Amino acid sequence: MTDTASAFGDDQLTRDLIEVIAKEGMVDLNGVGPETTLESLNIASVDFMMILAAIEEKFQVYVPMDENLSQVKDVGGLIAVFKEHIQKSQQA
Amino acid sequence: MTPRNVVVTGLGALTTAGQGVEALWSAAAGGVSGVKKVVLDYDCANNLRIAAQVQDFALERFFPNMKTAFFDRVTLMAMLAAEEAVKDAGLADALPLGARTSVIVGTGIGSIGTIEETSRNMAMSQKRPDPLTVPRAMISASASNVGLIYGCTGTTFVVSSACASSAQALGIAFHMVRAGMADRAIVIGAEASITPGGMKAWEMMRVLSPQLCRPFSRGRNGLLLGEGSGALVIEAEELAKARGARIRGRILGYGTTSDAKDMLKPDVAGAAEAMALALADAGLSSDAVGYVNAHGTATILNDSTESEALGRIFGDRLAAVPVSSTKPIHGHTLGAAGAIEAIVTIRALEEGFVPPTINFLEADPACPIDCVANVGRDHAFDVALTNSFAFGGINASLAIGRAA
Repeated sequence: MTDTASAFGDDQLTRDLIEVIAKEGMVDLNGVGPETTLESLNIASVDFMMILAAIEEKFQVYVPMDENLSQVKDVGGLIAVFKEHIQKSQQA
Repeated sequence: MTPRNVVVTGLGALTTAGQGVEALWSAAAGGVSGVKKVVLDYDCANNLRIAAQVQDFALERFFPNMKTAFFDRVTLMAMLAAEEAVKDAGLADALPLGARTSVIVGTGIGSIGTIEETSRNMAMSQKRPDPLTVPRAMISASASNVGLIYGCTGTTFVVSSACASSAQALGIAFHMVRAGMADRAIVIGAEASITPGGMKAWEMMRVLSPQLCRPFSRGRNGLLLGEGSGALVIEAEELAKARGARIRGRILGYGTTSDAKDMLKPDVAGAAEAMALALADAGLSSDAVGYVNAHGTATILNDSTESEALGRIFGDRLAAVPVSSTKPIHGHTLGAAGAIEAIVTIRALEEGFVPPTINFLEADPACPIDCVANVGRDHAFDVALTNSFAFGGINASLAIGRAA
């Protein structure tokens, strides 16, 4: 987990997000970096729904299936979209 | 037996626009949305509360001489559309319709209202469950009850393939009549899933728009659910002519595929192949198609995927073929969508008028089609395609022709 987290940044929010993605997507994120594609991790649309529901529950933020999210291809992009929504809701 | 021509002789519908095919058509042609604030029996922590609900909550009154107490709403909806279609086909006085008439219904989930109510009664209020829960809730209840009313003793079943259900029901019924397995079929699409649990489950899928359904448009952000029913009486042309029936349209071809790739994400190849198969089944080239009633849900992915699939079918002609989604008008009626949209397509063929895709803001480069934005259009044509693509990856497309 430490190696993975440092590839994305070491802050707590990043660590939490990585944990949710690994758990709900049922993937081992060890050695995975920001440019690893979701497809190569075999994260399918149903796993995506589980990840979104968990993010909603953990961070009390609604992440809509909008244009930004549907264009995400890799793990770094996914984390960036989540962070944007979480930070926006914390500021609100 | 030489394959027979298959014609449509009767239509019936119940939608958010009201009772009857004409209520549906005038809303579709005029671009009037039937999306409204929903009325729900109880609360399921629903954040989204708009849909194309059928707000006529006493459908029992249409059947005063029947024991309607154990009919789920989806069955009543199927019965009401069937009644109009059988009458329209001139068959109301020809009962029983007998062993050569099939009843084939498409529904995504069937009696969800009964299932929810029974579960709540048992789990929360310790009430005795309805003793007739099984015949009320079984997914084939609508088909059996319609068959019982009209004395149809031929092959009867329900097709369930989510949003492709009644497109597949119409397709398989068409093939059965064409091949001589039946002379006639009452084909119905019915869905009554605007329930607290149904709305919540779809909310959790994150495909519902919180505001407006804008197919193929920039700024689209999801679909709006609908409910209702559509019924078509189809029969072998020589038999329809022999009894002097009015022919309203022709079922020309049917194609269906399964992506077998992803439960939720649509696939260009599967959608395109369904359309190609429908045209091949009809013995037509894509040049013959003058209108497409699209699946057009207004989710980001469906509309761009469907546009790309249409591009594979029409090639250079893509921008010249009018394509519209009438879903913002009658809602996404899930399993009923194939039948309801086939009816809209037949009315469009009859009138020589293409219904609009309403709520359109501006073109999305990912959807380079002529989507008949906001205002319908006079346009005479002979052949249309109507598409239904489902979660689970099942796709269906029907080629429908003008009566004469």
